[in-house]
Amino acid sequence: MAALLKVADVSVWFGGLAAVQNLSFELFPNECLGLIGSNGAGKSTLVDVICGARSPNKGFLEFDGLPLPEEGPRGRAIRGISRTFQGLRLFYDLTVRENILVRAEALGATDSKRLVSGILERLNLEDASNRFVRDLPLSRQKIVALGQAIVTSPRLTVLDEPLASLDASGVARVQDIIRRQLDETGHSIILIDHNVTAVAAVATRLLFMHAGKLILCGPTREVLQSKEVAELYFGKMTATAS
Amino acid sequence: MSAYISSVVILFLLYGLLCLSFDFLAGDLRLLSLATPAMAGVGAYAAAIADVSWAWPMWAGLLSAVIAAALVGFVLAIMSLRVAGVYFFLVTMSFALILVTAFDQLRSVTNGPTGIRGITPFDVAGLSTLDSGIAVSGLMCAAIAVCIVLLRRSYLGRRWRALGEDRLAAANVGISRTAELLKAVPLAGAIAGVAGFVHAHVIGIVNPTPFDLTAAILVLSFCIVGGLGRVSGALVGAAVGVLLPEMLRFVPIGDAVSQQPLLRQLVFGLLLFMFLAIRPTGLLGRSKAKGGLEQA
Repeated sequence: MAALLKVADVSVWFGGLAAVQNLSFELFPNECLGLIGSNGAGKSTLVDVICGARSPNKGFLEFDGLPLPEEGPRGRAIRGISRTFQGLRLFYDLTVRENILVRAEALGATDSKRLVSGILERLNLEDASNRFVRDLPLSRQKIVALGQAIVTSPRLTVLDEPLASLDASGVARVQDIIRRQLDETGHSIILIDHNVTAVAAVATRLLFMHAGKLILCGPTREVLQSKEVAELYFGKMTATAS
Repeated sequence: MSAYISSVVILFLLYGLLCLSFDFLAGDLRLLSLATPAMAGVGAYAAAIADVSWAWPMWAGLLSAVIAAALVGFVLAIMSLRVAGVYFFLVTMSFALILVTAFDQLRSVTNGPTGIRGITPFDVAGLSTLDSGIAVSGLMCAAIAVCIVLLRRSYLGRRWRALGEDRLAAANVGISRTAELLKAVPLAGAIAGVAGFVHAHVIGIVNPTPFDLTAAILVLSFCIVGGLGRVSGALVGAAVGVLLPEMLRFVPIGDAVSQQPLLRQLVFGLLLFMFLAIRPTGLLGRSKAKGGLEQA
């Protein structure tokens, strides 16, 4: 199967600090890739590169078999790559409906108002559709961010910490949305989060990063059982717990 | 209506139109422009030349004022594509200085500091010249206010609010800042052009002074006091800005009449300080989750 996204030998430096080093991987259609690693591993920098917010110092990216030029986030959105932000970055002066509608309209979706109504219904946001996002609790703001990201059925959705600060029911709800998105659209998702158990529950493969380097990328079970990953990531947690 | 009250109402409507143009950019895109009165000046000169030099009918003068100011707005938009936030503010300041200098120095076109005189006043059947001015200015003000409200409820309004709040997030949802600036800044220019047209026919003389940076700072102050992001805020700001100094004429503090300009500055300084400190959103401004200017 041809890869939807190919990241080849990508490096990003901040001054003398290598945030991402010679990183390569492929993402396939209808796949959910879990991106895990401790703080400072380079996950968000990699997301910025994929979504056009940052240019790599080295390496290249291909999407759907074509090289991805340096075009900024808007160019990526037009190509069918969407994202959510770690800090959400919703439009707090817009209502829930407007937050989702603005993406559908900007990307020229046909019958965008009906499309947005469908998303609001699917995400159980109808009761809050005319409320300002700033007036919603964080758990619902995260659902709005998800709705905004998936409204135009992007071929690749990058979700940056959508599970952070959520309780068990909130996590289950986001997982359900991700599963439905995969099942119903056949598109791909990159899921970044520190809740490894929750990520592993929906991801078909895991990519583990540490200090800007790709340590291991493979089937979920294989990565979770890796001794190297355990030492670098889970080992620390065990040590802390003991 | 007495001539004094009519003059105050006309002054309010003229500033109201300028405040609507200023707030059009500041309210949604969070772009503060000091070029608003200067763009109104372009409209005023276009209307004056159309009337005095070419004897065009008033509707053609209005059209030329709107088109001239919108074209100047388009040039400003192109100049400011690569800047944001406080740098946009500085670009508009330079732009206003250039325009006001041009009004002053292009004497063959503008007649320099003397200005263009003898502009035909508005003449609404059965009304005096002053009342005709009030009727036309009021109509223009109301029409523009309605258009802005409708525009803000449209997809353009949503895009501009998104862009004003977070440029990266806006790009992430597919909004092009370049495309939106090239629409919004000329539209703000067109609104200022209407203000200029009304100014030319109500005052009857067009010279550079009413369009300089002092006017720009007054408009900015009025809008902050009224509250950014709402048509009502712009109009209330203009009303407070115009009426308050007039009311101070009747305050028995020494020779208040002769000190009126000084009192006006003093009161506005205090009001602005009070609003920035206590109520930064102004009297009627939208309460913002993330306030302030567009990020540079």
